[in-house]
Amino acid sequence: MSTVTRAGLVLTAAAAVSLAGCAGSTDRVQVAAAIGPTFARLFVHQQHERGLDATITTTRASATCGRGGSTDSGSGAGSDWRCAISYRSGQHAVPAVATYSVEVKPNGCFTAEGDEPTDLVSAPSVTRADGALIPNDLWRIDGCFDPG
Amino acid sequence: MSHPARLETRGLTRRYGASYAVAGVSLRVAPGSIHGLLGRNGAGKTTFIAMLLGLVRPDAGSILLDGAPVAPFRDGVPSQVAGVLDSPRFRPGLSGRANLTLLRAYDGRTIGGRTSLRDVDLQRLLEQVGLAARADEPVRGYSLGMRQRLGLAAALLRRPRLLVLDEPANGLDPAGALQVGDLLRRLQAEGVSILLSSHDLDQVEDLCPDVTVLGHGTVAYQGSVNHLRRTAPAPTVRLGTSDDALALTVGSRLTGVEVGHASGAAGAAGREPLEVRAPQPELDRYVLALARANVAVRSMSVQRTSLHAAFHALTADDGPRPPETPQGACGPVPSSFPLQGVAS
Amino acid sequence: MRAAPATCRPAAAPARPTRRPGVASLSRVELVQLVGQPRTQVAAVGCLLAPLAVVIVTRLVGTVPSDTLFGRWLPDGGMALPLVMLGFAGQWGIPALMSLMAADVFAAEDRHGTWPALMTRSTTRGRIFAGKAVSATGVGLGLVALLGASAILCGRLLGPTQPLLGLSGQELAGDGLTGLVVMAWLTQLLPALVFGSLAVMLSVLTRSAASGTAGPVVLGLLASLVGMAGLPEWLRELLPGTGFETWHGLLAQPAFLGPLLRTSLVCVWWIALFLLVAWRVFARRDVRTS
Repeated sequence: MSTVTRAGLVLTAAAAVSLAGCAGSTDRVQVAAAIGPTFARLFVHQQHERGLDATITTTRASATCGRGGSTDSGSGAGSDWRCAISYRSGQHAVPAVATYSVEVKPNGCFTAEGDEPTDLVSAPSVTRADGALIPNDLWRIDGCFDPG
Repeated sequence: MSHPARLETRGLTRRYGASYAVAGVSLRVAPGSIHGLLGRNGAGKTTFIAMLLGLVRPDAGSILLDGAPVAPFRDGVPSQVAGVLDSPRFRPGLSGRANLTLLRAYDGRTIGGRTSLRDVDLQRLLEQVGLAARADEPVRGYSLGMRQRLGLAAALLRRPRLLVLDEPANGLDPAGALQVGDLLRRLQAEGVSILLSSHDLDQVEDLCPDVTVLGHGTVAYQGSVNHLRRTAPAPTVRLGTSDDALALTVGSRLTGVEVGHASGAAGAAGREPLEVRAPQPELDRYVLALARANVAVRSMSVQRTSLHAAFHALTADDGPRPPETPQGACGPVPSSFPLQGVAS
Repeated sequence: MRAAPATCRPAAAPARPTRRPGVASLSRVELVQLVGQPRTQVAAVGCLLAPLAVVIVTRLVGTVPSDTLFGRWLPDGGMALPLVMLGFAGQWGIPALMSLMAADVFAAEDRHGTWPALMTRSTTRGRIFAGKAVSATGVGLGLVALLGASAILCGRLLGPTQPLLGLSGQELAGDGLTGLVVMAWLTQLLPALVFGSLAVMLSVLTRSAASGTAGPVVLGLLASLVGMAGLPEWLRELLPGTGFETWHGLLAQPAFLGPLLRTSLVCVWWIALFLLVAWRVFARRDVRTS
């Protein structure tokens, strides 16, 4: 067997092995694991931008995502995903929930548009402490995760 | 013990599908000699030369340079060999000089060496091939003859010891062909061996004492030009007379003289000139006999020299055909004339 | 009986020894020619000015490419510019650049009938092939790097007023951000080579510069269209164009390199396949003047 053929077979085997790892397609756990922490960081960032609660530095958030009408099941790329993100910021003991409509693309990138609560996530702009309007970082979230 | 031939091929073969372009061609070029390769268009000359230069892969046979086997298709052209295929082409946007500089870079000559020496080399080369005056014009404005000269220069760039040329005088006017011929003789005097292919018999006759004639891809004759001429049928002469019918009668009474109309049918009506095929002494007797019979000779022109006649006979469509299976790499050459070696 | 002519001198002076040029020197010859061509120079200027053009067009038109990652922050300047250009480049920009450079290198010799003059030099077909392939894809990669460098420089000069938000909502700024963007552009080089090799293969097979230039672009667009359809992930990662998007993982937190590593292997496979096919055809072909 020539060197070239041998090298070719090795390469093909390596490719096959590494690609076999990502057997399935995008699933809800991946989407949820990506959108939750992203929301949390954006929330903190927005609060700082607005000049509110400047002492908040971490916000715990966990998300549940589902598609096709269900709240916690589904897989594959599509534009009918919905995620409910439950978050708890610093001083508030009671967790709040924000919901998003998410479009998941085959390459693992997603675009989430905020639904509820309207004043937090559904408006393109929010007011700063001094009254000025600034873009709302929570209105539309773009992110990516590893789909493989 | 003799020196090995500068170039030797044994049974070189190239086949396309069921037909053979080159079928078992063996020839030898002695060191410091000019060897002619003759044949009609399509006889396989260009394919044979392309195989020598590594451009076409041989299906069978071997090539030896100074006795050592080489494989130009696999390994590239050996460094002491250079050649030009018919009507060479170059980059049209660059000048002749620029093209040569580029080709020399591919030869590896720009590695090291001083600039001034390199340009002097090129200038001398351009003068040798007669392109010095127009070397700086873009090649797209060159005629075929100028491209032929540039191709020759491109081959000479490599200072070869064996030069393989495919129709080098193609596209050149007679003065240009003479110039190339002189150049080739000068190269031969410096010890360069040359394999020259042509369908122009006159030029080959001038330069090459030994020839190989290809017909349908095989060797139809191999030996000296003189021998070929001697074995040729008698030359043909076209005759215009004041009385063709009487001339025919006179000719039919002489032995050794064949007279007929150009169309081939003796006695056919019409204005076709007469053709006489006879060796020189018999031809003289015929002309004198015509005068005695009060037939005036108005025009006489040689249609084919003996060499042309021989070539025509060898390479005619019903000439020697390639064998069913070509000879092997070291088999005998299939030719119908006795083989006369170039150098033993 | 010797038939040697009387003027033949048996031992003529040996020719000046020539060194058979290797792949490196042949590549250099090709490189010099390529760089001297107007098409290369125009492409280089284009790459240099493209980021500026994007900025101007965005300001003039007023809207932003919101479908592209980081498109929303384009008006703010900064590193959003090179990141947005990464999105466009992968779709068709880089395949176009690579095939523009690579396709003509082989097809031009066919067009001008200059192969015989070239192949009757002191070198092998293998070295000629390697020299042309290396120089053509090398120039292409250089243009891609030029485009990226120009975009990054432009972004730095039109500096941001606030930090950029990454793909996981994290704040990115300063040299750390610049470093990530540089790495993101570097990930484009291997997929770029895939399209360069494809251009080489097409131009050797078809002997036409047109199909060698257009083919990879068309195939790249097709591949990205197919990639957007509902394919299983492993099949999607086998497509040649997928490698252009693996930089996403660099801008997430935590950064994920899975797609990058997997598609790198696939890219190497494609490059080897295309170049092998091109070489096989090239090595066995008969060469005539016309």
